[in-house]
Amino acid sequence: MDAEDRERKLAETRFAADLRSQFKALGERARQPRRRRRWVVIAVAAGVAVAGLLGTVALAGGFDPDSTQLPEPPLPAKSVYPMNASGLTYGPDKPLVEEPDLVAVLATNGKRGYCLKTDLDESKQPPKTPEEAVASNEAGLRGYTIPVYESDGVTQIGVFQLGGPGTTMFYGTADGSKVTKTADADGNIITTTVAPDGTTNIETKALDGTITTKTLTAAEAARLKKTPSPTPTPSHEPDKPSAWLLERMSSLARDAGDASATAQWELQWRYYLKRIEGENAPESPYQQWTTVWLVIMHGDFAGGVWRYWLLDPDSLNVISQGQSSRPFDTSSHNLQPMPGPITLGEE
Amino acid sequence: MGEMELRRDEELLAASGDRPAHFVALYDRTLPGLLGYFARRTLDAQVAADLAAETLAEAYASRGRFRDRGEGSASAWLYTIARRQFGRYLRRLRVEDAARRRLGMERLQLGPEDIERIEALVDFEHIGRQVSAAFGELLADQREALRLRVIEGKSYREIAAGLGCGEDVVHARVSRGLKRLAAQLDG
Repeated sequence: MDAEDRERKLAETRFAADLRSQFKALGERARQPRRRRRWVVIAVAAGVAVAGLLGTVALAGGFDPDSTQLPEPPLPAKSVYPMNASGLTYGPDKPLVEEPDLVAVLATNGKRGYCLKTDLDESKQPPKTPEEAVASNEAGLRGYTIPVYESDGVTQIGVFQLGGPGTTMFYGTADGSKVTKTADADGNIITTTVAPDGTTNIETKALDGTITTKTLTAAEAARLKKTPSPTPTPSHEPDKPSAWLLERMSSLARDAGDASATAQWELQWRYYLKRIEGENAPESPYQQWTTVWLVIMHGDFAGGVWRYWLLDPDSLNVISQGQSSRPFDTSSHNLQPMPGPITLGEE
Repeated sequence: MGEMELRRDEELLAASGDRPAHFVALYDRTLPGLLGYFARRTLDAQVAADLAAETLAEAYASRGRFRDRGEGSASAWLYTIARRQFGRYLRRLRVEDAARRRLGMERLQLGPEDIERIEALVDFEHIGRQVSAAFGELLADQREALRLRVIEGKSYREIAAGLGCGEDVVHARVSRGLKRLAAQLDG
């Protein structure tokens, strides 16, 4: 029996027929698709220390720029999550399910706890005025914290960081310009506007509101793009990674009987894209909180050099990769060995 | 030959966002391939059927996000979902049913004839030899960790206690072992 015969016989099975009937029934009762809307997207990142290191590439690579349809209604949270004494659902945010009232997060002090959905939602509410939009954007870019509680939703055990350096916002304007906003470690908001003719305007807004601008012609911007960034000279000796992390990595390597064994670690790092309606906003994706895996290969980690791969946790596709000689503060992150086989893309 | 059969997979998938009936035509084309993909990797007809059904359900639920980027893009999109499902299955050793539950679809139990026909997609003798060879080539500690985890179904905690090492060590051994086996099976 050749492959064609096998496939034909497969199509005749009860399983294939029954599953086909289910899809057919779905099609018959499907609703008309919802009206498309236009959004401005603001990416607000959590896990600020990592965001600062990975920067805009990771954020920009993590979503499908063509995705415009809103998701189907999710399952009710009460059907999935446990409930505390106050009747609030709690647990990790899951795909295809409504967010619980208390969403599991990792506090900046390393403790596992829960944020109130309403606290997280506050940053998702569309602003009502242009001034609110600007203030909301800048707050997200500079970063802020919300309380982290025990599962009772009352006992505070820490704070969760939203936004901060490395967070990036993308949008377009009516004249076709592309705008990128980000914040640096000093809290300056840097807005880069690239006009259709390539003219680039860079505006820096300091914490005190002082604004400086610089305009580059298309040729100057292109030259700048081609000029490789000089290797930064560290202003201080790189910090050593946390002792416990080195110890666990060494232990893993020893156990494998190979001093050069590779240690893989995951860090759940989440960000979401906030939506705002706008008449001239470009079509952009709406995406719920997304979990990514940060895989760190230690390499010369002890010497302060480490390499990273950012993976989509489901497809295991590499979203971004790179290396850094900057110190990586692991103290506020819960790093775990990777639970499954991972195939990293070629460099 | 009907109108739908003349369409490319990409056109069917893109059009199914507005007209879900087109998804059935795509289903007819893609189910055998998906079943074969999963059957050759899991060597279990029921698991393969569940994974194929969940993959198609997820594809149906998110079909509005597909964009036609040319010949092969529908298949690439579908198999990205399939790989993701298979990855989840490897990590959790159970098939997700979130997409089917969300769509109100039932899990289908295979009958003997279904199993026979799905298994016909797999050359078990050849794969059995491959698995046996690959298993034999694993480091002893990886082989033992895989045996305890996958064949005996013990928890990582139980295995760690039995072997006198940490759970993360067991995770690493199982992970490396599975990775090597998967690489062998992918040929």
